[in-house]
Amino acid sequence: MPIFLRAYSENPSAVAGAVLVFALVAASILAPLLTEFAPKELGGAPLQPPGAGHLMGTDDLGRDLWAQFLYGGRASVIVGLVAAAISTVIGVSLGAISGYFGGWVDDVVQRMTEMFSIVPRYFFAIVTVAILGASLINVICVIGLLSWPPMTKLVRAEFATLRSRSFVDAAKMGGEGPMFIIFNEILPNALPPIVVQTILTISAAVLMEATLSFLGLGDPNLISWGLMLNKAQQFLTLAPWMAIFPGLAISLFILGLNLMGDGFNQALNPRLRLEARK
Amino acid sequence: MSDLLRLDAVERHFDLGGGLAELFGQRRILHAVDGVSLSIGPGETFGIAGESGCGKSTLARLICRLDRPTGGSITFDGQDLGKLNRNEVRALYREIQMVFQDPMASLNPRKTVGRIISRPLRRQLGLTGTPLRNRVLAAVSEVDLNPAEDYIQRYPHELSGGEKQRVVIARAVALRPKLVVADEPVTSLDMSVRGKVLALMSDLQARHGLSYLFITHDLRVLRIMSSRAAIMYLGQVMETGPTAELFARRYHPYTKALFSAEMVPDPRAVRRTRGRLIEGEVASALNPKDACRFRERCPWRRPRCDAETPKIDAAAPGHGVACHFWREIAAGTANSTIKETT
Repeated sequence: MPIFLRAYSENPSAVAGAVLVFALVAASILAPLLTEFAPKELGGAPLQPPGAGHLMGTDDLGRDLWAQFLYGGRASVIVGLVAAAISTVIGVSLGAISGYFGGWVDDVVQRMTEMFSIVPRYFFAIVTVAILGASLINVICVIGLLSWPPMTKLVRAEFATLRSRSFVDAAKMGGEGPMFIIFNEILPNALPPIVVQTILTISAAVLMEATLSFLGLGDPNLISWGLMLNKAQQFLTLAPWMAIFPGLAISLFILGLNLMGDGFNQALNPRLRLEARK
Repeated sequence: MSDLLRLDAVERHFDLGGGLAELFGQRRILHAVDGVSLSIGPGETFGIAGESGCGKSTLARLICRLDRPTGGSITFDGQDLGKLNRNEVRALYREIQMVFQDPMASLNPRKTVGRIISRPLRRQLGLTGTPLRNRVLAAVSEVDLNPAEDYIQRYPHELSGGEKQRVVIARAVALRPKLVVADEPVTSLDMSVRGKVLALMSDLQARHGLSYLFITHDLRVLRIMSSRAAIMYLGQVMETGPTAELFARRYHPYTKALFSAEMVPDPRAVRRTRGRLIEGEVASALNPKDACRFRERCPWRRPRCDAETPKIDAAAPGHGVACHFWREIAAGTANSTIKETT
């Protein structure tokens, strides 16, 4: 792994991405240390512009926006990580089975994957959340269940290539069963693209959560950047800072994750690593 | 003679679908292995030679039960490979092991040499702890990778090509199988290490009484390693017999051509034999008709060659030739389309 770390750290945009992501994650985790206000605490004058007392100003009810900015990051991080974990588990399992066994198993899994990938994502998410209620768990599950098809396609392709390598035949001749071969022989060799795809899935999940919240379909009791944007709509000309800061947070977080994804891709792929050095 | 391995009319046809031709009810069937019969005795090395695409590797996979024949039967040590259940297949892999062509691809890049060799011993023989460790170290030093303690901690990318192939051989032989199927084991190695790896394989054979099925396209390797051999072309055996006999008296036109295409140290010798070199490319194994597979490139082609697949004819005890006209060719009474220069 040291080779990987060195390659990653030599790539400035990858480092910048990691810094952005870790700064925003750290800020949301350390929120209580960074502000004296609670995110839903009333009391300040409404719609104050950014200034000394309130770093990012206040909203229409006089709540501190800096506090909301910090605590709001928690929703994004949780949704991003858990939804990506769900989609990675589903995507990797189905892709591995599909690519390793091939034949009719592959056909069934691929048709299922295609059904999920042609569903209009946002429409489906909006309808589901509207019917089942806009709780954090529902939002996470919906996003997780909608994001696995690209992972499945990717893992399937990796497995289809790797299964014909002769170390797989050697494992069969060592008396190993399919589960051992899939998880112990092939999967470790397919990890690099899976890691990259997982990071990109986190980014897509964060964006989707923000979108749902912005449309008013997120958990209304949970402060998130999307929800802050949703509230800011009504005061766009009166208090533009209400929109600017959460908007900036979402953009920077997504940007950071994508830069990290690219950085991982380059650092884990020996051929790209050589090109980046030129 | 009690055979260790016996192949009876083994076929492996791949259905490639029809493409456009399927509209007319025709499917494209690739006859990768087409009616191969042979047998290997205990402790023997049987060589299989032929150009690439002649079905050698498919045959190896069939024997190792990594693929199933579409016709014929394979019998190993008295048991029909087609009738084995999952546990019997696992047990079979204590007796049959394989050495693969590309050592890089046959070692998992994420595992150390120690794990690669120990896993089958633990799974197949139930070894654990110190006995397992000792067995692994013995297997590694047996293939001349010393110090073994050092080598078992290395990853495949930290080994040279020859060392990797030694690890592959160690993994195969560690289980003390009866038969090792070696699919072009030295083809991807440097000339300088080929000889050493071949010598190692001969050593191990003598020490453990292994049988080898040795697949190669290099006739020099065939000559050194095998006691009996079969020459394959487009999925069929063209000629088979004791290796020494094949090198002394070859009857099949393809064998003659193949052997004369071999590099010869004396350029004048090449000039003398040039008249026999084959022309053209290997024909397609797609939907072959009932005819001699070699007819399109054969200088002695006659109408009968287009109408009937030759059967193996015994030229001498244990020496078979799949050619309608080998007697005439040997006697010099057949007319060749290529003039032989002398």
